[in-house]
Order: sequence, then C-alpha cells, then structure tokens
Amino acid sequence: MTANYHLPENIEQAFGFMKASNGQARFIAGGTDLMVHRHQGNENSPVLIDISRLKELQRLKIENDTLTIGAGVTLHQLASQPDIASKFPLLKTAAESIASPVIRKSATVAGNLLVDNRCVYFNQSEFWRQAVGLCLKCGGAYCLATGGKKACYSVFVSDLAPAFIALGARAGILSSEGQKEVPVEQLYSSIGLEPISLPDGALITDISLPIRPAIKTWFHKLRPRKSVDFTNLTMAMCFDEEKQEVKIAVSGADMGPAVHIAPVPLNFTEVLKSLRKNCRMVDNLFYPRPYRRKMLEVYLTNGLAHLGLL
Amino acid sequence: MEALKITVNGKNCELLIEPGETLSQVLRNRLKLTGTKTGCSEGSCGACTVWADGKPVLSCISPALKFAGAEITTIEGIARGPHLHLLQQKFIEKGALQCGFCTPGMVMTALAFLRENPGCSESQIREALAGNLCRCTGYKKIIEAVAETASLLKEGQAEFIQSSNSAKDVRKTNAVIGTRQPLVDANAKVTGKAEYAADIHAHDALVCKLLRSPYPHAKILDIDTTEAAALEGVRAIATGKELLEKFGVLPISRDQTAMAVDKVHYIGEIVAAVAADTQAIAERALKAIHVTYQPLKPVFGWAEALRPCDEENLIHPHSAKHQCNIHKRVDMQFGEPEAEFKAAAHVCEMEFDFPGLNHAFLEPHACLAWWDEYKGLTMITATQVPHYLHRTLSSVLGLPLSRVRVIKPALGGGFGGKSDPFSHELIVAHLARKTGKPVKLEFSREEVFLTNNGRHPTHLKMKMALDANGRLSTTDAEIVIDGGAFGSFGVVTTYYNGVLLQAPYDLKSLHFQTTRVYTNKPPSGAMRGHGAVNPRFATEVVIDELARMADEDPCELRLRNFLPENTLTLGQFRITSNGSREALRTVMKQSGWKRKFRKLPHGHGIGAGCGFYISGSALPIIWNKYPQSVVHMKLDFDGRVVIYSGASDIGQGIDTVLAMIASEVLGIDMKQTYVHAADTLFTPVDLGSYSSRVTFMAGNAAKMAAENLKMEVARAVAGHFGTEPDKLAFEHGCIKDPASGKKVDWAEAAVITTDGRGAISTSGYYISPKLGGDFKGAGAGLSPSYSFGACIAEVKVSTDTGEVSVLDVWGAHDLGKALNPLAAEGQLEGSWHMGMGQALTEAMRYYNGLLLNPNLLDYKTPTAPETPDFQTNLIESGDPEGPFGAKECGEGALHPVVPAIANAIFDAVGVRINSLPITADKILEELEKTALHQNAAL
Repeated sequence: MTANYHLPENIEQAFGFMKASNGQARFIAGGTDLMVHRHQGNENSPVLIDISRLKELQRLKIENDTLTIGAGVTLHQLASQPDIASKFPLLKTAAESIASPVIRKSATVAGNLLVDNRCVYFNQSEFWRQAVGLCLKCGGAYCLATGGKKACYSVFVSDLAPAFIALGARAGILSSEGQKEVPVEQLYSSIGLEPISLPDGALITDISLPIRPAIKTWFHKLRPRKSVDFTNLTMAMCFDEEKQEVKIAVSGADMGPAVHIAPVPLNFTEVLKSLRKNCRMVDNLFYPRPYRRKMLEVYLTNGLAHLGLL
Repeated sequence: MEALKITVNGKNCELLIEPGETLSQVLRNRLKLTGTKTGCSEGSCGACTVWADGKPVLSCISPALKFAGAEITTIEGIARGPHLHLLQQKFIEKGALQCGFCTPGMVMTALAFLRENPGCSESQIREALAGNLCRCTGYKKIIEAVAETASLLKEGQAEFIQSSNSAKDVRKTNAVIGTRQPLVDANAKVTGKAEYAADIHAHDALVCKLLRSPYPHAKILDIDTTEAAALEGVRAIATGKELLEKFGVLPISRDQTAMAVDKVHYIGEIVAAVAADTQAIAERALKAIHVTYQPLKPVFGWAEALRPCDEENLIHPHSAKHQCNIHKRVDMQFGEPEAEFKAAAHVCEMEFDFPGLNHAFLEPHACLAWWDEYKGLTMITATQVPHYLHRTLSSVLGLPLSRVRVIKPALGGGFGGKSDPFSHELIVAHLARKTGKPVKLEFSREEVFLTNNGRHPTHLKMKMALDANGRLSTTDAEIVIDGGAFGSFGVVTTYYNGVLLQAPYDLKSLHFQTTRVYTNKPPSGAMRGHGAVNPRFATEVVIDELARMADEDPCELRLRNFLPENTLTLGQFRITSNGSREALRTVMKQSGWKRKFRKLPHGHGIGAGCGFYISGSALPIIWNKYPQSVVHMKLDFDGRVVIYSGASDIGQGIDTVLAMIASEVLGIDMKQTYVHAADTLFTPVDLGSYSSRVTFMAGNAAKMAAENLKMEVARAVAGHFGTEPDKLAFEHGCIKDPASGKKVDWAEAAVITTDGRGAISTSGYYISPKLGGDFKGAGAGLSPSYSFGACIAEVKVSTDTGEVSVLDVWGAHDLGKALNPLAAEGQLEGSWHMGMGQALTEAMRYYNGLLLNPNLLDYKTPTAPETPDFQTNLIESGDPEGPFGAKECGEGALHPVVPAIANAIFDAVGVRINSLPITADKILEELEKTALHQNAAL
C-alpha cells in the first residue's frame, strides 16, 4: 500500500523526499510499468516520488553535435520530434515499437531504459506466484523457467536500450554522490534479480548522444502482434562508416543487453557466435527458445544486409 | 488520506483519497463517473482511457495523486448537453459499438488522436487505436467511424451536433426491417451513461472477495476462518459446506458446488468467500483464512485423463464407470463409412490439436445482490442467461422460484462466457441473505480467466473420402475434448463436435466418437460457434488437401458437394433455406479467387473455408413444455408500446431488433416503443443469449405479440370507423381505412383502444416444431433453421521469420434476412476477428495446471493494426420460419474463417500447421523440415 505520494517541483525536493524515506521510496514518472508491478504485488514501496513535473528532466536539445534527451521526455515526444526523426530514425522506430500510442504519451525515456526484466513466471498476481511456488525473482528458491537453476533468467525487455547502446549513447546519473555519466550499457548488471545497476536513490537525468552524419542504422523487434506486446527479441545496429565498425545491441534475449562491436569487414560466424553466447535465452516469453535463437541469426543477417555489410 | 484537488469535466473537485488510489478508482468509486471502465486494471485493454490536461492516459494504472491540479476529462465530459461530438454520433451511426464496454475508452483515445492528427490516414487510425481492445466489432466499423469523422471535420462540419440515434430518419416509413438501425442503447453507451453490473452502486453495500485454491487437485482437510472472522469490518465468511446443492447449466451434469466442499478440482476454484466493509478488509481477511490441503494426483492433459486411474484420484466419482477421467463419450454412425472409404478415389486423414480459448470479453464478471424480507432475493449480474441463473439460485439457495429476481443490466460482451450460472453469483446471493446487506463482487481479469468456461482444448483425427465422381462420400472423426474440472455445457459440446459434421456437405455416411474428459484445469464450456469450430477447421483443411490430391479447385469441390435447400441430412437435420452456394460464389468472385488460387508468388496465398451452424437449439436444456421465448407487449393511453422480453442484449442488438419488429408490424416509429428486457420479475421467460437462438426465437415471439396487439388496436379502431379490422392499413404511424379515407394517428388509436378498458397487454411465444429422428442422440444439433457461410482469406507469410499477415478476409453469411444489416455486419466482422485470433495468436497455456497467461497482455487477441479490413456480404436466403425470414448470424460466421486462414498459409508456403494457433515458430519449423526433405531428395 502506498503510504505517501510526493510530487516534487524540482530535483532538490525530489532528492530530499528520497533521503527522508530511508530507502523506502521509488521514483515514478509515467508509471506505466511500475504501476502494473504494484497491481501484481511485485513492487510494494510505501513511498512514491513522482518526478514527472521536474522541468530539469524534460529537456530535448541539440547542441554542439550532441543530442540531449531529458529522462522525463515521453516516448511520444521522442518519436514525434522532427529533428530526432531525421537525424536518428533508429530512435523514432525504437520508440514507436514500444507498447501502445496511449502508453507512449505517459511512458518516459528513462522509464523504458529502467523497465524491469520480464518472465512469464514473474509477471503474475500474488495469488498466481504463490500457487506456482514462488520463483527466484519473487523470493523463491530456484528459477521455474529453467526448471531449477539457481540464477534468475528474467529477460531484459527495453527496446530503447539497444537503440541507444548501438548509437553510443551515455546516461547522466544523479545520486547523492553527485552527477556522473556512463555509457548506457553500464546501466545494466545482466543479473536477473537486480538487472539495474544504479546507486540507491539515483536518477537518470538525461541521455546524450553524439550526432554523427556517417552512420547507418537498423532496428527490428519480434513480437506476436503489431503493437502493444513486449519484445521477444529486439536488435539494433549502427554502422559507423568513418570508424568502419558496426555496433549491435540486443534485448529480449538475456538478463541484460547483449552487445557486440565488430570491425568491418566482419566475420559473420564470429559475430553470431559471440551474440549467441551472450544471449542466454530460456523458455519464458511468448515465442519458444529455439525460434528466438533462430531469429537472432535471421535478424543479424537481415540487419547486416540492410547496412550493406553482407 | 490525502487531499486531491482536480477538475473533472469542468467541475472543481476536492477529495480525500488513499495515496494508493488510481485515477480510475477515484473517478468510478468516489465521483461515481462510471463511464470510465476497467477491463483489466493493468493497462492492457484501454477501456479506462481518460484525458489529463487533454492528453489520453490509462486511468487504471495512473495514481490519482499524480493529477493534482490537473483537468481530467472523462467520457461524460465529451458531449455538450444534448449535442454529441461528431465522433460519438459516427460511432452510433456506423455501428462502431456493440457491447459498448470498450467504447468510452475507444472514443477518448480516438478523439485525442483526431485533434492531434486531423489529416490522418486509415493505417494511422489503426495504429492509434492499437492499445484499445475491442472483442465485438473486429474494429472495422470503429475505424470507419473515426475516418469519416476526420474527413467531415476537415470539410468544416461542426464538431458538436444534435444527438440522434439514427443516420436518417427511416422510421417514418413503414419498412424498418432491413434498414440500418443504430442500437437503441447506442447513445447511452457512447456517452458513458449505460450502466454495467460493476457500475451500479448500492447504498451500504459490502464488498465480496473470494479465496481460491492454489492446488490443482487436493482434499480439503480443514478451513479455519477464526482469525478472519475476528477482523473488524468482516461481516460474513462463507465456505462450501453452507451451499451443498450441486449445480450445472445442464441438468445431466450437475457436478459443481458454489465453493469446494471436500476437495478442490483446479487452481482457482473458490474455497471460501468474505463479505466485508471495504475491499482492503476483505483482502486482509482472505489472507487470514487458513486452509489445510492434502494434495491428490492431478491430471492435466487429455491423454493422461484417458489412462486408467484409481478411484481415490478420479476428479469426479461419477467417472468411475469408465475407470478413468471420462465425463462423456458419444459414438454415432450414419450409413457405412467403411464401404465408402474402400471405394474412395482419395482418402485423407490428419490429426489436429487445438488449445483452450477464452472469450476475452472486455467486461469482467460482476454482480450485486440484496435480500428483502418482502421481495426476496434480487441479483443484478453480468449474465447472458438470467433464466438459468434464476432457476439455479432457487435450487442452490433453497428459495422458491417466486422469491428470486435476476436482472441483467448493460452487458460488456459474452460470447458464451456468461451463459452458465456461476459459483460467484450463488455466493454473493448467499452472503446477501446471510448479512442482510447488499453484497457486491467485481472480478479481476485473472479471475475471469480462471472462471473460463471457454472453448475446449481438443485433439482430433479427421478422415474423409472423395469418390471417383468428386463427391465427398464419408467422414470419420475421433475427437477428445478437454472439459477441465467441471461439466458446464460439455455434454452438448461432446455431441456438437460430431453431429455438426453432417452439413453443409452431402455425405453418404458419417461416423464419429467424441470423448469429453475431466482434467484439473479451469472448466471449458460454450464459446462462440460452440462445439463445431474445431471439427469444422479439420474438415475444411482435409477438404483442401483432398482437392490437392484430386488436383482440383477446393472451392469447386465444395460447390459440387453442398447440400441442397429443403432436405434432410444423414442424422435427419431438417435443412430449409440454404445459402451455401451463393455465399461461396460471392466471396470467390469478390476475392478474385480463380485469378489468385495457386497462382500467387511464394509467400503469398489465398485459402477458403465454409461452415454452417444452428439457429437456436430446437430442444430446451431443461425439458419442459414452456415455450422457448415469450414476449409481452403493453399499450396504454400514452401510445408507447412497451415490449417485455426475457432476452439478453449482450451487445448483439436484440433489444433493437425487438423494437424494430414491433415498429414494423404496427407501422409506428421506433421511438414509440420501449424495450424492458432481462428482468425475471417483469419479463416473461426467454432461454437466453446462447446457441444463436435469440433473433429467431425471441424475434418470432415478438412478432406474434405485435400481431396480437395490432389485432386489438384494429378491432377498436374498426369499431370507431364502423368498418372491419382486416380492412385497415397500419402505416407511417397511422391507421387508415382506405375505403372511407378515415384515418387516426397512433396516439389517437391508443386512446381509442384503451377507452373503457384501460391498458392492454398481448403475448406472443415461440416453440420450435417437433424435429428429428427417434434414435439416441437424435436431438443434438436439431434446429428450426441453419445458417451457412463461406470465407476466403489472403495472407502473406515471411519465409524468413514465418510471420503471417492477413491481408484481407472476404466473408459471406446466409442469415436468412438481415433484420438490421448494421448490427448483422457487426456480428460477422466480430466473428471473423475472433476466428483470426484463434487461427494465429490465441491459446490458454498452462504450467502444471496453472494458467500462464491470465491477462489481456499475454492472452493475445488481435489488435487493430493486425486486423484486416473485412469484406462483408449478407446473403439473404429468406428462411421460411424465421421472423421476416431471419436466422442466426452471431456464431456461424466464425467457423469458416479459421480454416480459410490456415488454407491460405498452405497456399502461400506449402506447409500445413494442424496445431493452433499457427504461430511463426511453427511455420518456420515446418518450412525448415520441408527444405531438409527437398535437399535430401536432391
């Protein structure tokens, strides 16, 4: 049960509430992921700090060949910015692949980056999880998806993350220890139980990425329906013609993003082998594991072909 | 509690709320703005969409406090007095709503989109509506309504217009039947005024919550309610021992109790119930009830259920005679199939697997009951069949029938899923009697899935023969259906799986064996197209294969083999009107079949399927001589014709059809009629909205009642004119004597008729004629009339990924006569949409008896972007016994579309997937196997 709901007007206030909560608080922005977890009883923080009114997080600007996207920019805003659409069609495509148009009007950039990992044995009601006998991620002894492993195989499902990672984006992080900036891939632990590696009480403030004219990109998302569904495999690629290097990032396939950087000309077999090793898929989404593994190869082929690298 | 200041529809509100309340809870429970619906409470269905400062948000997953100071707009705030927004008016006119439960959210989403994107294209509209699920319409009419609004606004039409329930005022003419009439409750639904069961607030009502079993099969050793009962605010707790009388919709399989008594049969079965002052207290109380279980060996699959089982582990003791978990076995034969198979030119046999399906209507079950010493029990509930619930409440609660009243309010979709009397209804009634207070229950979406009674998981083998003359000579089917934990409609399902194979093709012989087994899963029951969808799929796929073997066009093969009109089938079904040929020929022509079949490039294909269905069961479930439907009509001095009918409008539009029939017969405007329906205290019995019976049976009863009323009025007016009743003409709202030129309008006629005697009431009824043979099982599938239909689907299949896109579906359905073409088209389009879900994405998936996808995100009904623009054809064969020639159109249209899609996939890529749904992974696996074979052959 929510005991307190705060609506700070600025970042200082937000951190004040966070500090006062003694680790009992969660930040909430669009709430489109968090509130579902709360409905299902998978998230029970008594204090919510609503950061959707923080102007500091709403910036969207291009300066000195750098695009900066505030953490609180909604997916709808991201996708409908003409500048972004022209300079980073990958971001528009990725943003528009997420959830539904109505949800995208509330869901934020950072919210998607920090979306909790998913698994059919975890994203269920309290009654359900107790009836099944609690999986590792909700306090049980072992992973049900794998029939008994001691590690959690919940899947990292952000669709923006692979796009940002492929583009070499960096996340600005503000915590009680101050402001720092890390590559987006470093937000993730690849550990199913605690997939996000942010300091306690930290906020993502913005995402910044360099504007490079000499890039080509590709994006694809596997899902049974044309909208609404979470990913079963998302692949984003960015080919940097100057560096002659392609960066591939995958979600929906492992507990964290799988990333591979390959110099061009590339060795397809090597790239596939490396990605496969980093995509520890199990049967816990809509499509079965063998199909998703097969699609990894198909997407890699199609993406590289699109970029003229095969 | 926290203070919240918001503006809602222009009104300033200051409220004290719990910090955890969502915006939908505040709107619905505190402000009583129940136009905003909650279909899932987890952001998956879109029914709760409202605007915050003009931006659409999902109110069910939005904390209310987030909107402090904001301006909230709900569906109630869209219309301006009597002036509807043009979009609302277009929803009404275009038939863009049926049950209406998704409508408020749909309108809010669409209107916000239109304001931002005035020049939108159709595909943009589809994408914009992606997060708003509709299970009734197939989206076609919704998209038409939005698109037309966009273009009218662009042309400069005013945004707000005078509300009207009709596109054109056709009701001034005398021909209402056959005109496109918006639903009589469309205005209420599009403005959020229509009240569904969960919207009805009773003063001082208790909240009911149910404790459900976490075990699939276990003995109950003890239920300790002491701790829960001691909680402050808990008013009553009920357990199974209080309601021991068994029930079930079919008198032959009453195998269920309101709550588990000695043992539980599936995960989700109700074990105890709490009535408390608030939801929070009720939820706390559930956690304080301690149940001790002793697990029994569970049975999850059909094959397991057929294995010998000791009595201790049988799910139901009455299966003991089979020594395994068989519920019902039916084996029937007509003619000599063996001889036909021997003489055949081609024989094809295939094996099929079908998962269980859920109806996935948007409105979760909800009910409210109260007890009054004078009036007895009153229950308002989301039901398709008030009558069977009336009877079941009486028998389980031990109340005389005369002390039970069941009312169906607006209903948010059924499709068979609200046609059984349910445990929760019995429990709520019991708690209302026990506490003396109103008790209300609302299901979560998960509870809807656990209650289920959806399509049976099915395993079947289908073998058919084609003789040297190209005639389909015989069918042999071996079918196992998985009934889950209880009987429900299962005995009927068992028969229907087999007997509904005897049409639409003229077979010489038929044999089938259907076995219904019990398993420890949520019960299966009736779902749209009940009992015939899966064997129809198998038949149409086998026919496609036989045509390939014989190297001919499968449509020509079908055309050659259709039964004629006015004939008897092998099992003595009486076929009267039959539009099979016209239906198939229509879609062949329209789709360019001859041009496309086997001629499209690899990865692109077209396929066909046909079907037929009953238009109401000729035999009632409970054997008695009471008519299957009775309608009363009352005329008083005010001229309003009140139509009393027990039929349930579940969105299909029967209330509208009844009003149209009265209007047609009496020559009056529909506005001079009023339908009072589905209230067992006031309305005579109708057996309910299931088995596609309502238009046929209640329609016939209404026609008779209207004709009787017409006779009464004619006698009175004839006396007034000094002429004979049969000389009068009823038209254009007047009664005329053509000979003398005398004329009165309807209002005058009402005064003349009621002078000296007061209000008059007339009655009409429908009883099916005696039909069928006198062998065992002859009654199953008998109907006074049958519908026939055909579908052609065109698909693209990616050979890289196996993903399927349905490009278009051409459908034609012989419904005898479209009384209301607008609603009839909606029934067909909704059926095709639902069938497409069964073909491609929908399945109830289990892990050790626990449903893995009990929510609308993981149970995948097609959304707007992947639904094609259906091409809809109404075939009017004119049924001799249907009202004005009408017969069913609510279920039969689903049958042909599922195999049409499968056959199109085969035409595209040459693989047959006989295990539904046909997902990309299965196609790709088969493609790879085929490639391996081809490589090996090289």
